[in-house]
Amino acid sequence: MRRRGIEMLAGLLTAMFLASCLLFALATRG
Amino acid sequence: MMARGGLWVGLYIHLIILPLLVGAIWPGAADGRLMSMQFGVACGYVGLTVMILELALISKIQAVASVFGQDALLQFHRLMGMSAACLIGVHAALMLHNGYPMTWLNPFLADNPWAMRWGVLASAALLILIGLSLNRRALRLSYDWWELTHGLLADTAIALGFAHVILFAGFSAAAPMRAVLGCYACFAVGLRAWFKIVRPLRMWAKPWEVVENRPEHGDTHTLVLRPAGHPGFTFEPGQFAWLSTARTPFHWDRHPISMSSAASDEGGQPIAFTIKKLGDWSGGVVPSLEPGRRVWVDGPHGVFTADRLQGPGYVLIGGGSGISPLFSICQTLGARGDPRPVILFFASRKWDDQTFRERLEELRGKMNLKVVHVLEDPPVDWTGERGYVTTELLRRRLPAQYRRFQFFVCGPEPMMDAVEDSLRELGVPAERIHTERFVMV
Repeated sequence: MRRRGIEMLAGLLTAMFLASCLLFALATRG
Repeated sequence: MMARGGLWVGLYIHLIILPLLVGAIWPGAADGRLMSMQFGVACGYVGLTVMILELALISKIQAVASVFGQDALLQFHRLMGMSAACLIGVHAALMLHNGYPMTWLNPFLADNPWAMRWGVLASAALLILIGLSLNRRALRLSYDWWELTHGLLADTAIALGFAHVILFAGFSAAAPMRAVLGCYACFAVGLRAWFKIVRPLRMWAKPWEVVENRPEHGDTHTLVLRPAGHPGFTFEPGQFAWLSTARTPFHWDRHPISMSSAASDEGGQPIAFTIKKLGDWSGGVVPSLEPGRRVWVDGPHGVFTADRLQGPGYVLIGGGSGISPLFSICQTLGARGDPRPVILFFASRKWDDQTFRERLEELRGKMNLKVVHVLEDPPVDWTGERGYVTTELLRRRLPAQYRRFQFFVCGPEPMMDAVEDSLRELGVPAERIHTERFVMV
C-alpha cells in the first residue's frame, strides 16, 4: 500500500521531529 | 532495496535533527530560556531543515529515486511540505506566546528587527506556496505558472529562513551552529545548481526531435521522438521521462510523461510519449508540435516497471491517460514473446476515450493478453463491463491464481485509491501492488 505507506511515514517522521524538539527543549531550558 | 531505503530514511532523519544536536551541545546565546520558547525555536530549526531537504526530494537524484521512485518522492515532498508549514506555525505561535510583540508580524514596519522581518516574509512565502499548490485548479493557475512560482517561493522561503536564523543570533551565535548552517546553505545552493543548471546543460547536449505527432482516441496525442545526434536511452516498460518543449531546457516548463512505446534493449530508437489533453500545455502546445521540432527529454525515471517486478503474470489496471505505461508494458511483453498472462482492466468514461483500443486488439492476437474494457457511460448496445473498477468486478474477472501476480495501477487519483483498497480486500499482498501517481497539484 504505497500511498498509505508514504502517509504513515510522513506522519511518523513529523511526530519524531516534534519529539526531538521536546527533548531539545528539555535539554536546553533554564 | 529495503536496506537501501532504510539507509536513506535514516540519513534524512539525521540531517533534519542535526542542528538540534549541535544546538543542545553549543547553545550559543540561547541557553537557559523557558522550555516553551526552546521548543518553539527547535520547531523553527526543524521546519527550516525539512524545507531544505524538500529540495533534495525533487532534484531527481538518481540514487534516491531508483530506490523509492520519483512519484513516491513527490508525494512525500508534498506531505513534508505541509509538515514544515505546521512546524513553522508552531514556532511562530510559541514565540508570540513567549512575549514577542504582535507588531513584529508586520515585515514592513521599519522599527522591527531585520531578523524578524525576514522570518515573517519567509513564513509568508511558505504559506503562499502551499496555498497555491493546494488550490491551483480553483485559482485557475496554469501548471507552468505554478511550477515557476513554486520554485521562486521555495527559494525565497529558504533564503529568508536562513537570514532569519543567522541574524537572530540565538543558537546560531555559536560557531559550530554557524558552520552547520553554512553547510546546509551550500547543500541547498548545490541542489538548485544541479537542478537548474547542470541537468539542463546535459539535456542541451542531447536534443530530441519530433518524428511524428498523431492524434489518438480520448483527446490524446502520441509524440514519437528520436534522439538527434546522440544514442538516446533505453528504458524499462512503465517508466517515464520529463518532457520540455520550450526553446531551451533551462525553462521551468517540464512535464512527467510515461513512455507508451515498447521498451527496446537497443539505444538510438525512437520513443513514443502519449499525452492526454488536460491543460494549456497538453491541450495547446502538444497538438501543435510539428515533425522536426526540437524538444528536451530527461529520463528514464521511475520504478513502476514490469522488468523489476517479476511474477507469474501481470494485472494492469488503468484509467484515462494512465493507460500509457501499461500499454508500454503490454507491447514490450508482446515484442519479447513473453508467454505469461497479462490482464488489462482499462476504465474510461466513453468508448471513444479508450486510447489504443485497436492496437490492444491487435496485441491480443500476439500475446497472452486479456483486455477488460470498463465504461462509465457506455453506448446503448454495450455488453461489456459498466461503471467503475470495483472489488466485485475484479473478483469476477481475475484468474484463480491472481494473488501471486504483480499488479500495476495507474490512473486518476480517486480510481487508484479505490482500486488499491479493492485489491487489499481481495487479499493481494501490498508488496505486489504498484502505483504511479503524478497528479500532484
